[in-house]
Amino acid sequence: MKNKVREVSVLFIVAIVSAFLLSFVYKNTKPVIEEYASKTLNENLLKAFPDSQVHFETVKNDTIWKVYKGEALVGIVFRNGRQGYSSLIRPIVGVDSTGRVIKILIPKEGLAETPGLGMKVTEVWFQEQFSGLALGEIWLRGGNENGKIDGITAATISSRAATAAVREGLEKFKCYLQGGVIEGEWYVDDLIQLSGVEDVEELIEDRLWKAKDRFVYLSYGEGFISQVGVLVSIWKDTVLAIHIQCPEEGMEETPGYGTMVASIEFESRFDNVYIGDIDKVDALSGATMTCEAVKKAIKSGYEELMVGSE
Amino acid sequence: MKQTFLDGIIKNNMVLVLAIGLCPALAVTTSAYNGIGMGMAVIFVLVFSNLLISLLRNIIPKNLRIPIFIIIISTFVTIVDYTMQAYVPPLSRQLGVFVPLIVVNCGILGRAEGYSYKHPPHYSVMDGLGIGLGFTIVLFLMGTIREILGQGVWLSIPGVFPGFQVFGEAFTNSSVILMILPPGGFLAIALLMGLFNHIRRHK
Amino acid sequence: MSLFLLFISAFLVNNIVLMRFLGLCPFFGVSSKIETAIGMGMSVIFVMTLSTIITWFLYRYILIPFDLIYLRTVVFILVIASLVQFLELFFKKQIPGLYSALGIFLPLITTNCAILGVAFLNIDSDFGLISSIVFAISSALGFLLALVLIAGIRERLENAPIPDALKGLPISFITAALMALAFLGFSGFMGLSL
Repeated sequence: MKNKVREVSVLFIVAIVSAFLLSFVYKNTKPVIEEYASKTLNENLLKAFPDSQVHFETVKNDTIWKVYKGEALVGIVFRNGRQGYSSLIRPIVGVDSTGRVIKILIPKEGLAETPGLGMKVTEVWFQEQFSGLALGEIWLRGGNENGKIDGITAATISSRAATAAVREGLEKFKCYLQGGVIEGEWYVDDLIQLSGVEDVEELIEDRLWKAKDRFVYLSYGEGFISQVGVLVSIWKDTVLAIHIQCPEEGMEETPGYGTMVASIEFESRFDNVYIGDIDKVDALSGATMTCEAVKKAIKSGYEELMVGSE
Repeated sequence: MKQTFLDGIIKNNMVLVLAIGLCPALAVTTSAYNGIGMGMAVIFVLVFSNLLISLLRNIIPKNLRIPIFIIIISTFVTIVDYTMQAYVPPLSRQLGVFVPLIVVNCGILGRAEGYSYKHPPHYSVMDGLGIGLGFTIVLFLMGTIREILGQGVWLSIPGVFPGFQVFGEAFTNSSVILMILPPGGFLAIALLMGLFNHIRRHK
Repeated sequence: MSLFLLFISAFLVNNIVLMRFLGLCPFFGVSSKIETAIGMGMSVIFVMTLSTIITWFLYRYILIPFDLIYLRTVVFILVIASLVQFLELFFKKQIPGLYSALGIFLPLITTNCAILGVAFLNIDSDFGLISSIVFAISSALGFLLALVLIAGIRERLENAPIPDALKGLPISFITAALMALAFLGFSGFMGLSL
């Protein structure tokens, strides 16, 4: 027995010492690792938007940055991915205020296209072709009559994917150039529709509104890969109607699966449902996680509303 | 002691003789530099875990030795992992998941169990150095074969040095890409092991 | 990525052994007979799935919330080692039939880097629970497939005339190279990769 205690305490001591040692190493290396990451990011952004007088403001991590010169918005940089031949091709693209591409950069890191063929998308001559092009011209020659990009011989899939990633990203993110959709305000139009009246009274900023006899609240739930926003109009204990953030409004669940919940058909399943029966609403097959997120959002928002009104 | 060191390199060579540690030997050797980097990481882990286990060999209880070895080895592996992430980030990205996977390299646990648990510290350190160096040499050779044939250059270091041109510009532009793809890894080690067997047989 | 694509990707396109170089030690160690290859493959499917589930929960609900991610290597390998030990005891006592079939392979599995490798890959790819499980099962099936294929070829190689220096492992490596070449044909299949 005494021996057992001794043996186990040796194991215990070794484990404790190891944990302390590692936490020490972690604390000391973490700042260095983070500094390198931010340095690389800044270098890449400057390569896509080569102007030493600008500063970048992150709108969404690793996806979209606004570029300011002093106070003025002079462009954006975005990163958009498209499946290539054997890996995800994710160009970093600088865009000027008129919506033309300034420069693109396809980092080698994480790219696993065929060496010598698809990998050529990382070469300078390929990337330089994009400079100065407008949205309608970012196609491969032959793929579209306005196309101005020469594809890589024997690597059509990779060239097409790189081109599409730039084009689709530009389409998706160009709204940020005009100030456009501001993150977190996607619900404004839906709010008026859902409350049924023009003059809603804001009770809590960006979260709770009163419209005549009913309340409308905005709540988020953790979905499969992102936060799903839900706008709920409620009267006493009964949900009158809901609106689920759709992909155009910035929802990022798996396309074709999670995004299916943002349909009128699914939203209508919640019409006139007693708040305690929310869990009984049928989920969509293939989008279980996202449906759960919607239900969670409705319930948690309701709980907050109750706490607030007491 | 010198013999322990030399045995580690040739007679007990981890990859060519014992055929363990194959995963990193094949996965990361697309260039000679990567091979050396991986080898260094393994040497560090081997030497320090051998030393510590050998020092503690009279304290470590027999019944619980395996979990204790595992904790010691994985501690050193994590130290290497974070240090590389911080100070040689490009290399660390290249080696990826294979750095933390050093912990399941059966060679290291095998050395702890079979050697350093029974031998005094200075011998254990020599053994770790020898085995680790033997491993590094093989990885370096694999990387050399694959990089020269697959990319036409030698000893390139990403972002620092473009590498020596070996067969000239024309070859670099149309190299044997297969060699830096997965099948090339298997071919290179087959070649190396065959050659090693041949030399040993005719000595 | 839909689960089916994830399956095809982990099973064929990014086959864990031939494309990712994980689990090579058992791949060459226990592939001289088809029967043992199947036994090993089955044990790997079993352990990989269980260990993935356990490590996923540990990482999400203990290591991340308490800011202990630097302990992940230590914790994961200890969990896998204990899991294997536990399974061995459990089978021996409760399901002797299964034990006699898979028991001898279990101790080898702790140091099979495919198990720990898949646990890490799951975290690095930020998979949810369902995707992690699908990824683990399809990776393990890919392992079984590669193992059975090479075992079949090696059984035939026994009687083939092979240069002395290449006998044994070197010729197996060449076999694996040809298999990897064949599997390379799957890349780009349905636009897949990870």
